Amino acid sequence: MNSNEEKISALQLGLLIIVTVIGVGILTLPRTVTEIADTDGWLLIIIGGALVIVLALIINSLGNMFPDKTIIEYSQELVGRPLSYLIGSILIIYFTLIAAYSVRIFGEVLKMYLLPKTPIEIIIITFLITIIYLVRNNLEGIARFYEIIILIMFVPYFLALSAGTWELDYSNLLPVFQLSPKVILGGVLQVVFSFSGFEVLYLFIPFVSDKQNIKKTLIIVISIITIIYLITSLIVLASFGSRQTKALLWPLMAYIKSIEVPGAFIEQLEGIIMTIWVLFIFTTISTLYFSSTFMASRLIKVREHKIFSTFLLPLVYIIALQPENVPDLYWRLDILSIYVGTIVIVIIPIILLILAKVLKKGVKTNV
Amino acid sequence: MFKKKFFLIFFIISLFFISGCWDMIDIERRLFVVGVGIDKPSQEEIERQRKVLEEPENFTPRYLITYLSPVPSAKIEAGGGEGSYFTKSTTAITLDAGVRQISTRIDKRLFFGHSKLVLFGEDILKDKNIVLEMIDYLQRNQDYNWHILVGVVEGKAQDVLNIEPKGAKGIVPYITGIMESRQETSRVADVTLKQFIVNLGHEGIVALPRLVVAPDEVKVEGVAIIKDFKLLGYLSGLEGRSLMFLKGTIEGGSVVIKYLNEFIPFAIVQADVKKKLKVTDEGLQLTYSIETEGQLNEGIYNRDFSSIENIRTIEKLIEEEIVRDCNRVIKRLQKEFKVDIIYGDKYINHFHPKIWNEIKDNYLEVFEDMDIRVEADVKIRRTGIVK
Repeated sequence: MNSNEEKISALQLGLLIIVTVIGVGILTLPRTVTEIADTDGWLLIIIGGALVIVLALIINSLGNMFPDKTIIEYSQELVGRPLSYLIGSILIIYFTLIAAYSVRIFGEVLKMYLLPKTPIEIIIITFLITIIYLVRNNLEGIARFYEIIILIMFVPYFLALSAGTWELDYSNLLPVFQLSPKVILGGVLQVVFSFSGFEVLYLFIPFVSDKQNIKKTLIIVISIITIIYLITSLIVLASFGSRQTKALLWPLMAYIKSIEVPGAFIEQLEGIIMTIWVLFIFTTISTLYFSSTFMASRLIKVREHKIFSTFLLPLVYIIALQPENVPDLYWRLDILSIYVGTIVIVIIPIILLILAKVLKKGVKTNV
Repeated sequence: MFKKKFFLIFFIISLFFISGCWDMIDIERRLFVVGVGIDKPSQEEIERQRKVLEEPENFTPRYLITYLSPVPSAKIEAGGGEGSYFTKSTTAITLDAGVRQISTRIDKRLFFGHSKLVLFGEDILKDKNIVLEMIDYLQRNQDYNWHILVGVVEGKAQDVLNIEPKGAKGIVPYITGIMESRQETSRVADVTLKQFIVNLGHEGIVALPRLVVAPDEVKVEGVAIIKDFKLLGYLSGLEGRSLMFLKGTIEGGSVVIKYLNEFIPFAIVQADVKKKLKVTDEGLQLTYSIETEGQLNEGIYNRDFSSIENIRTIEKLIEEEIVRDCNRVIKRLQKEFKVDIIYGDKYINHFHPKIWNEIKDNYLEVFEDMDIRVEADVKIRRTGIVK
């Protein structure tokens, strides 16, 4: 394998996971959890986060059993060539579809709040061209880009969030612990999907130079994401109360729109937030897009993934424009998450891990 | 080297061409609407339009919408004043259609991003469907800021927006200024669009500030009560104060009591309300404990406030006054209006979820017979700069 070409550190992998996971999901997350669990949504986020840590660690231990191999190669050892091709294809399709729908959501949000007259085709195509410029680099280049950008993303994000905290009604968070375990079990999977993006671990673990640190990094990083989700959801819920949170399409944007900064020299924070928002989506889609092209090159055993990134552009563009309207878009995304997402995030790693243990394949490691 | 320079120049030049933007609107082409008034069109106007329309049953206007905007060319150095705002009114079937119609009479594009005030005439609030339509429009439209202030006009919103107030820049800053002066008076409450929508919920119960029109000024006083998305009635300014005590939103204003045949105003500096629910044999007992502190700014010449007993007596009198006023308002809410706008439902829902689950389906009936008690605890902290 060409693994000595590009190496990233465990920390860089962690940052990549943060910026990849936090993307379009956070827009709707407060509504999703409130719909499932009312004011107990925060509990779901914590449980969901814990579950994601477990799943990520499963993928990590698979990666450790087969160092220098991505899922394409080690699944070949475990389930044979035809099935491994199937797994590879499912992953490529999954990443491509998620990337395409994320681009569309990005376009819709931008059109709604910032550019009402600009055709969505133009928004999407210019955005995709910029993404291609980044993903033609190798993994190391992308990871370095994320390292630079992460502060620019999160500092203004938290400043904007906290700008409205002075007028929150925290009693809206009550009552707590009204949930039945049945609701939690039914809803937790949906919360896990809002963490989708961490499954790029399938591909990137072989390229980490300090593998012994990955486990620790993953636990910290996913906890950070959980906390960011938690703070966001709680603030939005405290601001609107559970009834109104359920009624809003993008509760986070609505919250930011409703912020009135005391002193009032600045108004309409959504303009500022939209600018930062572009970066959030940009990083998410870049990673997914890169993963998709990278997997395709591995599957067909081409050394260069760059050629695929250009080929994928029209495909992503067409898929992104397929949904007829916003409800249709979210319906498709739900179907994709529930069926393909469950397979990719939950079923594949567990089956592969069990097979690896039973067949006693792979390298014994104690990490 | 040459290649590099060529590309640099090429990119710089291309910047001028790729900046073409579909959404560019020159600021002169925008008309900033600062206030919107929504009324029911008058009967004569409806009759007149019915005669000229082709399908009168489908296209009869249902709204009379008034937009207030600053005159773009108004002299800035004069600091506004008379003639710096103008209004345009139109009748329309829907609120969005109103924007389209006004575009045929104005050479600019209406922009609501900087709106400050939405006023409803009282007639338009009597039809539930229309109210639902208006709320949805204000909520769904991404242009509107959610911290616009909302109010109900006893009369016509159009008349309010047409007033040119003396001593103020324009009618909208004038009204929003009054609404935001909660520190000064306890008779005014401001409600933003967000609070309006959040409080409405499914039952459609909300209290909005009331505006009363006079020939060349406006009074913002009292509360308009909306129930089931319809205007139900008004509370006076004094009752509004008790309402704010019970809601815990009071920030200023005063309570006047009579002490030894003299009138003494108690200036509220801060107030807080705590609620407590008890289940008794007769049903639910909800207690509002109001805690407030403030100061005495006015007594009578040579009256000595410095003795602690005197202060205690005055405090007692103020407490009685607050409790009496609050009880009167609660009685009206329970018996006359049958609405809970004092957040009793919210409290039970948040802090006693088990009880709430039992009563939530017929809460308003429960509220009607609920034993609601008010306690007040008044602290006079300061008595001015004489003894």
